[in-house]
Amino acid sequence: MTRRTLEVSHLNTSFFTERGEVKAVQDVSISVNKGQVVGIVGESGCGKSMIARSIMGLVKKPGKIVSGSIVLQGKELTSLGEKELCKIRGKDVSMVFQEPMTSLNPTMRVGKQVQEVVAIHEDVSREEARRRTLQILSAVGIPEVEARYNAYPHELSGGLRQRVIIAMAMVMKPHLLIADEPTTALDATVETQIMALLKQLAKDGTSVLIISHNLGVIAQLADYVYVMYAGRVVEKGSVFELFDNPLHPYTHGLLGAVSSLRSQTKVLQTIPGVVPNLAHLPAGCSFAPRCSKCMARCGSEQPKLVAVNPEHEVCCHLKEGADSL
Amino acid sequence: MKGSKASNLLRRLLYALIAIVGVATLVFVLLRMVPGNPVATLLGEHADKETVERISSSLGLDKPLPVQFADYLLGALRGDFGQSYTLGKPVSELIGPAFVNTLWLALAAALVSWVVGIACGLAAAIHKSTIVDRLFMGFSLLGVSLPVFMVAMLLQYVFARYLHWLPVAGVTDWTGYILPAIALGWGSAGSIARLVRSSVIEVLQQDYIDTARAKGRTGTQILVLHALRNAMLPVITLMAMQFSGLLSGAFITETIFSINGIGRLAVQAIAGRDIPLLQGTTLLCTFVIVMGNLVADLLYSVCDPRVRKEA
Amino acid sequence: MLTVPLYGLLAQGCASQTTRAKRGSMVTATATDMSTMDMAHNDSVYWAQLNIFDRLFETRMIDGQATVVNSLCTDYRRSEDGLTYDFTLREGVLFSNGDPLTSSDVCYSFSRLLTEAAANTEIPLQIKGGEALMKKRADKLEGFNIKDNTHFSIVLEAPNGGFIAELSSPAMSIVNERVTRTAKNFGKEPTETIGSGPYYAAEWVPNDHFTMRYNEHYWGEEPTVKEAVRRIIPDASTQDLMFQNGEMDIISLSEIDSLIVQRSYKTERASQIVHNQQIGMTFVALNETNRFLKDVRVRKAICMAIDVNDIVHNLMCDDGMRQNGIIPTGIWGHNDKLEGPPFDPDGARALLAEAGYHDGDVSFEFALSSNGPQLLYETVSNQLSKIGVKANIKVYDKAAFMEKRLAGEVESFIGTWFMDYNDPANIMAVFFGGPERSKGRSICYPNVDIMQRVSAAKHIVDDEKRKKEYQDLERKIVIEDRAWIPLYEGTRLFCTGDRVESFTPFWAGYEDFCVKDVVLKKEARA
Repeated sequence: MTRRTLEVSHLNTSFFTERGEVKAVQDVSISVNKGQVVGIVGESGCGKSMIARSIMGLVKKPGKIVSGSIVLQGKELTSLGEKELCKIRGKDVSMVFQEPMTSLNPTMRVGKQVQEVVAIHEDVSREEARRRTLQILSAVGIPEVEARYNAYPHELSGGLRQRVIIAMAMVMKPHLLIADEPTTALDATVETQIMALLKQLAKDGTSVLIISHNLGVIAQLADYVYVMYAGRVVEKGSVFELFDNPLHPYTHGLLGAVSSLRSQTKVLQTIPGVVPNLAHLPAGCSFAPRCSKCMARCGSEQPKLVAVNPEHEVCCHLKEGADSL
Repeated sequence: MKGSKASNLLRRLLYALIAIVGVATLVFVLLRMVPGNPVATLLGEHADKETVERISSSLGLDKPLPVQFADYLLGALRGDFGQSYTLGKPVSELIGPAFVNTLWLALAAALVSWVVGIACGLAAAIHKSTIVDRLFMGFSLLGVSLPVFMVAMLLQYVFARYLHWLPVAGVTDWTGYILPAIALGWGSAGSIARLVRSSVIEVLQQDYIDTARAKGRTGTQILVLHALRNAMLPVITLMAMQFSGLLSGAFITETIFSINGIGRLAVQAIAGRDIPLLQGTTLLCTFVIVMGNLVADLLYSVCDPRVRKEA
Repeated sequence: MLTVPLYGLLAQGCASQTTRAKRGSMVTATATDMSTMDMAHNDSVYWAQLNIFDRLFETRMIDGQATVVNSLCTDYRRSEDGLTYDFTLREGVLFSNGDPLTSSDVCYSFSRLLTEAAANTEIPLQIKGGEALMKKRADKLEGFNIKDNTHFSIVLEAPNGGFIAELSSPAMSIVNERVTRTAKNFGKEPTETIGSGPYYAAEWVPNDHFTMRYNEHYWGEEPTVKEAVRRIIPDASTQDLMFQNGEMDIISLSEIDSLIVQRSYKTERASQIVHNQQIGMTFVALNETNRFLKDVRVRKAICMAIDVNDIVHNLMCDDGMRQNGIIPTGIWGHNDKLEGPPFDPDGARALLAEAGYHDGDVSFEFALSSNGPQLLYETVSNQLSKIGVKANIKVYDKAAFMEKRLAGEVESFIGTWFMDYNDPANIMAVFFGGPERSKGRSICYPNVDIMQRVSAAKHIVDDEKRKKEYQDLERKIVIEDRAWIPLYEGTRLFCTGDRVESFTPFWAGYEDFCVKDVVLKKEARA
């Protein structure tokens, strides 16, 4: 257990709107070990960002964690008050948001924005805070840190801004770094650089939870992968196991969409249909309406996550049936 | 970079100068186009034609228009607008103290509108869609829609007539500014509150607010350190514009509360066809508005680094 | 959120609040400030003239009749031919700065009106050599002869039966020669504006307030008001509130909304109200160059269609008196035997028909200056419409109206003329003293003979003969020619606050008055 950085079990997070309860996260369990990079993959709107927000304690109203537990470094977070959470955010767990263009305060010098994190969590002198800021800025690969310290966000390129955000997340050397689509808004070359930086961080001992809709990013970075669909984990496994032997039809579909791009066939292979409305989920498997292998029981009965081997679990009646047969 | 900044300022100052000279010319031309004889108005019922002609000539109103225009422009350059017909004193001696009175009134009113407007706007934004929000926004709607004179008279009745806390009108000490400042600032407070509210709500939905929360900032810290400055950007422009409006458009408040200010002086000058006084007050108001807008621009660029770079 | 800072401020406000005048002091207010205290340039606001300066004579209202009484002059004698006047000045009169008042000060005061070439030249111009002085052909007033410090004589170009009355008008105030000669800002700078009146100018902040204090050297009885502050309060309802609040001691009710006057002042403060006839005349002027109005039958029809009694009773709530002539009630020479035409719309219609006009034929512009009495215009226009005459009300800005009126281009309007001195010349000659004058009033009276007689009437020395001539001319103009349609003489209402024991307004009923005629209650005195 000591190597466990994060243990999320049976997490349920919902939005309580006027039109009813929207179950954004349903019965999700995730664990991240020390130094491990764990990926969560899924289409947008599948609830993966809500897991990140739930861990950070940043679920916006009218959203709320309904049940489940989140244990970070042996500490239960769901029972903490806002005050205690403030002490943990930025220090023990930090987050990199997807939009580097808008995630920095436009009227504050970037150095100050990084230094702020130190000032919040540690009672150090201004000089010390500044020294550590400059150190982390150069550590994330920002050139001419002294000059950049005084720059405003609009004076920096997208890549540099994302490095600043990562510096902000890393300056306190947290146990867990959550990166929500960290490269989505960046162009390809910058994407490669940022991924290399994240990899380096993991190598240095930080646990990383990376969230992306991009299987390529996940494949390159993650050691272990969770596939999410409509608020549930539908398949999980080590990165090799999952990519080599995808079991869930949805994972198949995702991989198909990627490989069709790689093989440069003119026909873009996509999963037919759209992500269901989370407020009105079908009774059985959420993926059933889009599934090409849909069976009768799929429409009425929710499948359970079953292990096919120690490194691979899937949530599909096809597999349950295969096992039971 | 420094050079372009200076030349930019110089360019703006030049525009300001052109605007002022333009208004000066326009005022001169308009005043000679509108019907109404200033001397006949000044002398009133008693005047007969000979007297009017004699006094017109002694005031130099029979000189050719280009000569009058030249006299006026050259005088204005030296700050000399001539002698007021209706108040009998040099215009510069009249508009100076009047401007100071208006300035105090405008500052007091601005203070009221800023404090009340920002406080109400913030409270409404923080408690968005609650009873607090509705209460403050209803209040601000009242501010925007109630005419100044009505607020003024209401205040006079309540605080002077019935409670006897403050004088009805006139300024003998600073307490005389309280009611006029509230009356004048009320309307601006309403519009500031509405803008602050929408601006704060918008800023609180920005990604960098999430970033700040992820850093471990508490709600109040985020509001003060991250949201407020960004939310105030559009508000600052409004406030600066309103301030020059308060300086030049306080006529009704000045009349009801008997404050000898620049707005009242200007309206008096129009009614009495007091050409020198009207020219003086109009030029001063133009100057104030042009400078107010310039300051608003500069202030905006000081507060918003993105604009600073472009400028 | 609002209430917390507000209460804090108000709590402080209470402590420093001083709304009531201090003992011996009195506060009044007016809407617009005077342009100057200089009588040569100020012809409309007499506040400073009446209180800071004295004149040789004053007019007082005695038993409803304006009467000229001695002031700085204690005795005078007029020669048989009415050309020469010998005056004796009051002994021992000092100016507010301590200088003695002498004949030379009087000479300087009169000459100055001419050398300043300003508004009030008409009276001194009658003195022999007046025109020469004004046109700078002479450097002194030939007709003014100083005998010694308290005796002097004045020789006129032509006799003037009303000369003594004219000398009581505010324009003929006596100034301190020594100070005024060297003053840079006479009339504007209080320390340079020295008279011998009961008060001296202490402080003047234009457009804000004007303060006068008791002149210790004053020759007359010491007044109970030792300091008079006049504040400029342009808004009438603010004035009303200030008075109700005790921040003002005397208020002139003419500017206050008449509904408030009727419902609040007249009912709740009836005993504090002081009524005063405004000696003057409100009249309808009809321009005789207009193609309809030049017909005397049309003018008479208009006269018969206006129900003056109804206007005085209903519109003015009886605060006024019907007039039938030109010389108003209270002025020497007023003819109370003149009778106006009966109110007779049917007769008026018949008269119009006789002139060849039918319903709606007669139509003219009825010009209303922006500060004029709108309700009165509407009432008159409405009454005229009942005989088929269209008086179309058009509102002019005051300045534009004055320009048009001086050019003789206003088709019709309602005017009010207040008397400055107690002589018929002050109204008869103003409107009918010659073609130019009549045109400048937009009446354009065509009868040159009558106007010559009006202008000559002032030279008749014998009072009875002069009075008869004025009354004959008045009858001719009003009854025969219908060139002047008299309406009424108004009443000005003042209300006095609870610090005032008694108050006598100026004889002619101006808003301005002599502060010495206010008596404060014992507890309000210094």
